[in-house]
Parts: sequence; structure tokens; C-alpha cells
Amino acid sequence: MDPLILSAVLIAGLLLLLASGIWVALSLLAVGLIAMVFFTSAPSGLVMATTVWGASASWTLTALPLFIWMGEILFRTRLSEDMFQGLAPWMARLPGRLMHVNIVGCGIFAAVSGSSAATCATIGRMSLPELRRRGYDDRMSIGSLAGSGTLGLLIPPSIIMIVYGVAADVSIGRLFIAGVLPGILLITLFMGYVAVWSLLNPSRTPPGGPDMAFGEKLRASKRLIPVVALIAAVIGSIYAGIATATEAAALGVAGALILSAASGTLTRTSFRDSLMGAMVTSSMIAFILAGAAFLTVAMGFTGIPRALAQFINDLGLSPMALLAALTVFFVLLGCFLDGISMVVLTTSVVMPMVQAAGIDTLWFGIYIVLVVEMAQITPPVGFNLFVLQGLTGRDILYVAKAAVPFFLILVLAVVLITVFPGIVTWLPTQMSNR
Amino acid sequence: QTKWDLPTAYPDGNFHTQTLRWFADEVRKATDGQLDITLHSNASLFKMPEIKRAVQTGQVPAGEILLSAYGNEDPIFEADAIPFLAAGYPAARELYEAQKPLLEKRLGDQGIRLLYSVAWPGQGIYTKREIAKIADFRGIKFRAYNAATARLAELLGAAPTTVQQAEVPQAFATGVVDAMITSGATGVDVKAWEFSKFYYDTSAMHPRNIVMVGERAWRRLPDDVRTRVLEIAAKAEERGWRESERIAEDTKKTMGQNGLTIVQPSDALMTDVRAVGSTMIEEWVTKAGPDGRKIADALK
Amino acid sequence: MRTLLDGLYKLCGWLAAFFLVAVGVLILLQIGGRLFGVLIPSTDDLAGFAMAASSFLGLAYALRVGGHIRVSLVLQRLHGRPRRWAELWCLGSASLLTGYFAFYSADMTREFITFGDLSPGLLPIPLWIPQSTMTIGLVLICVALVDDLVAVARGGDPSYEGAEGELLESEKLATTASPGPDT
Ligand code: NA
Ligand code: NA
Repeated sequence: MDPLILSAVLIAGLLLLLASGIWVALSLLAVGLIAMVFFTSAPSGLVMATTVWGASASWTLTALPLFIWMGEILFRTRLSEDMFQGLAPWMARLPGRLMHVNIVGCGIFAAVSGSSAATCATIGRMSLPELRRRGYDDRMSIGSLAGSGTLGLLIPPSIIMIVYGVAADVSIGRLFIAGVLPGILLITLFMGYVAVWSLLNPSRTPPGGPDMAFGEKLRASKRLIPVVALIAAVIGSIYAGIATATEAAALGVAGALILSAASGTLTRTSFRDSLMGAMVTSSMIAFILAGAAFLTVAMGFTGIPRALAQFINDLGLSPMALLAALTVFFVLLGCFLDGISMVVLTTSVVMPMVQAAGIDTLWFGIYIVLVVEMAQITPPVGFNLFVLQGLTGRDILYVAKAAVPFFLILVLAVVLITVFPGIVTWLPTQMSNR
Repeated sequence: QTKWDLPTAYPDGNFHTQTLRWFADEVRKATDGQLDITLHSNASLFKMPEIKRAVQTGQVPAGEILLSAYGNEDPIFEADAIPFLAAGYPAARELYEAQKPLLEKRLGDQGIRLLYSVAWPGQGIYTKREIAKIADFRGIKFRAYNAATARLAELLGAAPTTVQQAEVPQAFATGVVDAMITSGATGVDVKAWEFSKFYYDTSAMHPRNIVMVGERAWRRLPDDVRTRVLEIAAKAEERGWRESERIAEDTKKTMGQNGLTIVQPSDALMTDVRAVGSTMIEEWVTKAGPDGRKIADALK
Repeated sequence: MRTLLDGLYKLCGWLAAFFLVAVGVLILLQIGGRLFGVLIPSTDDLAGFAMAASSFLGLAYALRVGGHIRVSLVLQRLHGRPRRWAELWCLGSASLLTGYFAFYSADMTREFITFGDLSPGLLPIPLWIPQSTMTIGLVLICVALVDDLVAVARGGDPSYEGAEGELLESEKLATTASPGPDT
């Protein structure tokens, strides 16, 4: 069957299943199954069991539940409140005030975690209840969290960069370094947007506290010490060669438990609640990931992504037009597939095109990361959306709408790195010239 | 017309994948498109650990695996990963000849037919610090990725350490590991010069990939197509080994140009390392039984 | 019957939590082992297996507490009989799908036993042992879905009703709410 018609059928099927209220993980499995049964000759049930098992019994995945657990533990200490109290005096003058904690928090946590969903879940668990309690606009808190959670992919370490580096034969170390400046650029853009929005909507930010003297501010900041120490210790463990990026999550949990015990909030009940909460969230996400893994394999069997990429190739576009076409292609694909699947399914066809067009593969890696970041927040399949729905109980479409401005900022970032490629390439060049 | 999906875990730039692509193209030409093989690289269809099972149970007709990853199943599968059992290409070919009938028998029992098998370039040791004598291994963190490399590290006096392949560059940079053993081709794939300083060209072993087809899928092919496929598989094998030898030289050059010091280990060091190898060979033969003895004797 | 099922969901939930702790402990062991130069074999394989066990054994428990997410936009607009039919459609097709999945997972467990497949790492672990947690978890979530299907068919509410996606809401009420200026 024509790949265009086939993909339209499957997309319609997925949307119908989702809209009718079938759970997300099961909708993904069902569409994968439909694709396998009707459009391939492989034994669907066996393939389903095999791929889901392979995707679930995965060492790389372990960082996700552990970081979620870390967030649950910290949420039950006074730590998140302390963090906000310590930061509040310093942010009093910045339009949008504590809303920026979401962005800066994700930016810093991104240096520990390689995944977008883990960043979103850990920071969101701590900041969302605090922001809500203080009367910040819910929609903006959720949107900014969805957007800045994706920094987990851009700021090293990053799982998606490792996947791209291996698939496209690009140095992972250089990719990591190349992500730093675009990461800072994105943080700045996100914060700028929040500030401008707050100036335009003064009624939707709660009133600020009284202005404090400098000494008072410093005294208030003492409450930041435990959080800063924990994050510094986890980042430090990676760079001191004690743990790899995946293992750091376990240290994060241990550190959170120690802090919780030291502050006297660690009780049998709080331990159990944090553990059960983390287990439920991670079981939910792991099941969706399993569904996505099966859908990916089904797509591999049908050959749709490859055929669509080939279609773009056959258009014979100029480099700029090619990038524009690829962006549309990846954004559409990103609505339905997760980022890693997008990369592994398309590199075989896309990389030769990119190289033939004379596009730098290192630069293209950062471009891909930005596009995958968009995929994290586009419905119906966007993992940050799922995390935030689990966290807030808001419907996925509400979350997706809240994230739209941040999606547009990601598009702007793609335009900026295209016009000024130096944002990506300058730092790696400096490093290798040394 | 038959369509085959063929998964492999390796990226497109790898010479094994390129050989496989050549194989698929030639088969398509030689059979006038009667057999159309779609190659799925990058572990985009099945991941490495699932490919053998997927072929065995007919989920895909054919696939490529690293044979020695199945050493836990049967020691014969890991013969090519035992250090110094067959060092260098000529020995690696002899090993393949000796191993092949045993392999075909065992795979046949599992419903798998061997199409062809190509060796990786010889494995050498990458380190951050210079190793002049075997005592220099003492205490350094040595990456182990299976039982054989863990035992090797142990016998060398190093501390065996597990780090996932994807995390190797960062693990080296931050000091989670100090040394690893792998082929020059992989060294170039991961750009080893960015995180290590020395490459000790021991050519200790040449692990092989195998390309295989499920018996059920095989029997469904018409006779003449089967003949064509076997002819081209034989050619692909020859081509693969040639490429492997060429890559072995090229990669050393590439690594050298990028600032990695390529060291021919001193005789004293080699003697000590070979002694470690002999211990490992003996241990493996004990584990592998009469068939293992047969292989070891053929290589003496 | 009711108590038995509820006990079963809870037991598997606890097991899932246990395996989540196991993931953390195994990784800490790996880090510790490396610090002291000891190789603790197969911690990476075992952590991966524990990860899978935690994910699958927790499925049914997560369903009962409203942990699994879905798009409720259309469902919310429906009331009375149409709502019940919609819920029956969701539960019915979900039961069928998980049943199908559980069947093939069990088939895979059976094959792992017959072929004696082993993990590729340092310790040769028979794969059917960790993989059977997937089968158990899938069978149990299928049971939980049928359980709710029966409840709704009899005119009751599904277990997750009301609990769905309100994890944060409930805790928001639990923490002393003091909306006001930043202090
Ligand atoms: Na990151
Ligand atoms: Na998406």
C-alpha cells in the first residue's frame, strides 16, 4: 500500500483510539498491532512480546524511575519549600519571579539527567505544588515545565546524543560540548518569554513579598544549601569518575534519603508513600515506552518512516529547503513516535541526504536534538505531556496547549542555529584547537 | 517475489553493515528481484540481544549477530573471543574452518542456517597510561563486557569494571574506566583518541559476526534462488574478510593520525600476556569439552 | 473473591516497589564495587531485569489507583448511559488487548524455558525467570481490567474513577494551603 495512505490510516486509528478514552500505552500497542496484522507478514504477537521485553529490561531505562523516586522523596521533605523560600528574595525584581525556578531548575537538573521525562518529572514534583500554593498561573507553570524539561536532552549528558552519535558516526564528546551554548540560549529564550508574558499579564502573577536588605537575602539563601549540595554532589560524582550518567540517579536517591533523614522528615510513611508514588508513575511511563517500542518496530516493518524520508530525498531540494522539509517531516513524525525511535528509524536515509547537501553532521546532531525536544511536547505522543498529566491530572490536550509557546520557542531556536551555526560549532572548535 | 527484513545492531558506517548492504544488493540483482532484502541497521528493528531469538522463531527471516555474545549458551560460540586462541588473520581463518562444522550443527539444531561469517579486526588494548610491563595493569579499571574479558582483566591483575558501550567515551574521560579491549574498527567508531592515549596492538582475538537465516524462511525459497543466495553469501564472506583486513590497517592509520600512540607491545609484555592467554585457553577448553579440545588442537 | 483480588493487586504493587528499591541497590553496589576494585557480576543485567519486574508487576496496582493516563476529554462530556457504554468499550478492548499480550508473553516464557536461553552477561541467568515477571504483570492487569469491566457492566463505577490523575490534587490539600505573597 502507498505509505502515505497507510500512515494516514494508522494516524486516524491512533487518534480514534486515544479520543475514545483507551489508555495511552494500550492505544500505542493497538495501533502497532493493527499495522503488523494488516500490513506485514511477521507474527505480531511474538514480535510484540519480544520487543516489549527488550525495551523494558533495559539498564539505560533505570535512571528514569530512580529520578522520579528522588523527586518523590524531596517533595516530602521541606526541601522544595526551602528552595523556593531561598530563591524568592533574589527573584523579587525579575518579572515572573518564581516561575523561573522551573526553567533554571530544569536547566541545572539537565546536567545530571540525560532524559527529558526524568527532568520534567523530578523538577515538576518539587516545583508544581509550590507554585500552585503560591498562586502562580497553573497553565504557565505547566507549560514552562513541559518546555524546559526538554533541556534534559540538550544539556549534557544526553541519551539522544549518544544514540545519534553512534548512528551517524559523530563524536559523542563533541556533541555534548556542542549542546552547551544552545542549551544556554534556550534557557534565556524561555526565561525571556516568561518575563515578557508576566509583564503583559500582571494580574496572573501573585504579589511579591516585601523587598529585603542584602543581608536578609543572604540569610534566606542559607535554606538553599541542602538542595545545592545535593545537586552538586550528583553532578560531581559524574565528573569525578565515581558514577556514569546513568548510575548518578541511584546516588541522587541515596542523597535525597540522607537529606530527608537529616531534616527529620523521613518516616516509615513518607518512605512508603514516596516509593509507591514513584513505582506507579514509572510503571505508567514504562508501559507507554513499551507501547512506543512496539509501534516503532511495527513502523520499521511497514517501512513508512523510510519511505517518507526517501520521498523527501527524491524531491532534490537545496540545503535550506531540505532542512525546512526535514523539520516538517520530523515534527510530524514526532507527534507519533518518541525521539530515539525517530533517530534510529531515519538515519539510514536521512544522513546520506544531509551529507550530500554539505550539512555539518555535528551541527545536524544538535538540530535533531532540538527537533526531538519538540516531539516531547507535541500531542498525542509526547512524553513530557504524559509526565505532566500524571503529575497534575490535567488532560493531555490542556498540557499540550500550555506548552505551545515553548514549542514555538524551540522552532525559533532551530531558526537561530541555522542562521548562526556558530552557536553550535564554536565551542567544539575551541576545544579541539586547544 | 519474496521480501526479507534483515536486522543488524550496527550503524551504517560500520564495514559489517556495508558488507551486508552489498550482499542484499547483489542478491536482488542476481535473483532479478525475486528475493528483496531490506536491511534494518542501527538496531532500528530488533536490538542486538533479540535478533537471534527473532530469527529462530520466525519473527524475521534473517539477521546478523555477534557470535560470541552467545557464549553463555554454548562455549563453542565464544571460541573466537578467547584471547590468543587465534591471534591474527591467518589463525582467525583456521579457527573459523575448525569451528564451522560445529557451529552449523548447533545452529541447525536451533533452526538457524549460517549464511556467512566475517571477523572483526584484531582486538587490542586501549589505555590512558603507558603499559610497559604486565605489573602496570595492577589496579587499573579495565572494561569487561563479557565473562571472557572479565577473566582476562582479572588475570592481568586489573580491576574488571562494567560500563555500557554507549557510556564508554564519558567513562574514560571521567576516569570510571582506564582501559578496554576492543578492535581498531570500534576504536575508530567511538573515536578512542578523544579519551585514551595508547593502543596496544596485541591482535589477541578476532570475534566474528554471523549472518544467518531461519530454516523455515530458507525452505520457502525456490531452489535456484537458494543457490544464488549461497553463491553471493560466499562472495560476501570473502569481501568481508578482505574489508576487515583493509580496515584493520586503515583504522590504525586513522587512530595514529588523530594522536593515539599505536604501540607494538614489547616482547616481555607479550610473553606475559600470552601466558595469561594460555591460562584462559585451558580454562575454556575445560568448559567446552571434547569439541573445544578439537578446536584448540586444530589451532596448535 | 473481592478480598483475594484486592490482596493480589496490592501484593504485586509491593513487589513492584521492592524491585524499584532493588534497582537502586544494584546500581549503588556497582558504583561501590568499582570504588573498591571489586567486580560485582551482572549488576547491569540484574538492574535491567529488576526494572522490568517493577514496571510490569506495578501495572495492575497503577490501574486501580488511577495511575495510567488517557485522554479523558470526550469521556468527561458523557454522562449516564453513554458514559457507561464508553467505559465498557475502553475496558472491553483493553481487556482483550492485554489478554492477547499476556498470552504471547506467556508463550515467550515457555519458549525461554524450552530453549534454555541465558542472559549474555557474566552470570548466565536463565531468561525465563526475569521474563516471567512480565507475564505475571500482564496477566494481572488483564484480570484487573476484566474486574472493572464486570463492575461497570453491573452498573457500578470503575476502581480508578475519581482517583484518576488526581495524585497532585490530593497532596495539594494535604499540604497546608497558604496562598499568598512569596516570602
Ligand atoms: Na542532560
Ligand atoms: Na510528540
